[in-house]
Amino acid sequence: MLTPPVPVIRMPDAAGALSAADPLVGIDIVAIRRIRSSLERFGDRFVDRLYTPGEAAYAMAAPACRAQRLAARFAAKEAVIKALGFGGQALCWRDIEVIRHDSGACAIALHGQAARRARERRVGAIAVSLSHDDDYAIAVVHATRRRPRPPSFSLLAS
Amino acid sequence: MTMTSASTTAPSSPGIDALQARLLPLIDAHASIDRPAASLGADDDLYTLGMSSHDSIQLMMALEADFSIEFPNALLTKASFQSIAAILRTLERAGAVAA
Repeated sequence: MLTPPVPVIRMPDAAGALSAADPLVGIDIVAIRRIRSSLERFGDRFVDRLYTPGEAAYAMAAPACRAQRLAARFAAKEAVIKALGFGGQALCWRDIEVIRHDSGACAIALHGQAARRARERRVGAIAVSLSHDDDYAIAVVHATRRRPRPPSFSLLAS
Repeated sequence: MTMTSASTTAPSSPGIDALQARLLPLIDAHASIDRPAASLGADDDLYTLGMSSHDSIQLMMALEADFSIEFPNALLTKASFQSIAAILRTLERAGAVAA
C-alpha cells in the first residue's frame, strides 16, 4: 500500500526564525584489529600518512590504547568525508584533524584542501562524537550547510 | 557482472603487463575481495567486490612500498584505486616502473 510522504517539519530556532542551514551527517565504524594490523605492517609510515602530529602524539601517549585511538580518529575522518560529500575527491587525510580538548570533548579542524572545499560548500560548525570498545571504534559527525540567501525583492524586480 | 581476465581487457604493453604482474598479488593481499585478482576484469569495481576504505589505504601503502613511490595527494581519490585499470593508470601517473 502506498503511504503519503511524511512532511518535513522545520523547527523554528530560539528566535522564532526557520533554520537557514541544512544538516549533514556522517558515520563510520572501524575494526580496531585492522588498524593494529596496519600498524604492524606499515609502522610509522601508516601513522605519518594518515594522522597529524597532534593526533599521533595523543595516540602514543597511551601505547596500550594506541590502536583504539587511531581507529576512532580514522572513523572520524571517514565520517567527515561522508558528511561533507568529499568521497570522490582528492584529499589528504591529515587535512581532517580530530582535536581533543582538555575536557575530553573532541572537535574537527579542517586544513588545506578540505578546509577550502568546506568553505565552498558553505559548511558551518562541525561536531563529532567518538567511541570505542575492545573491538570496534565508531565516529558520528554532524555539520550544517548554510543555505544561500534568497534573492532580494529588488533583484526580483529588475 | 561479466568476469573476464584482467589481461584481456586492460590496455596491454610490456610495461603495463609487468606492472600488472606485480599489482595482482598486492590486490589479493590487501583488497579483501573473495576471488583472485587474476580472475577480475580490468574495470571491475573493487569497492563493489568488498574493498573498504581502509583496505584501499592498505593497498595504497603496499603499492608505495613495493614500487618505492609516494602517491601525491592529487591521486589519493577513491577512483584512483577503484579497479585494476584505474590502479595501473594511477601507478603510471605516479611514475612507477615495473623493473
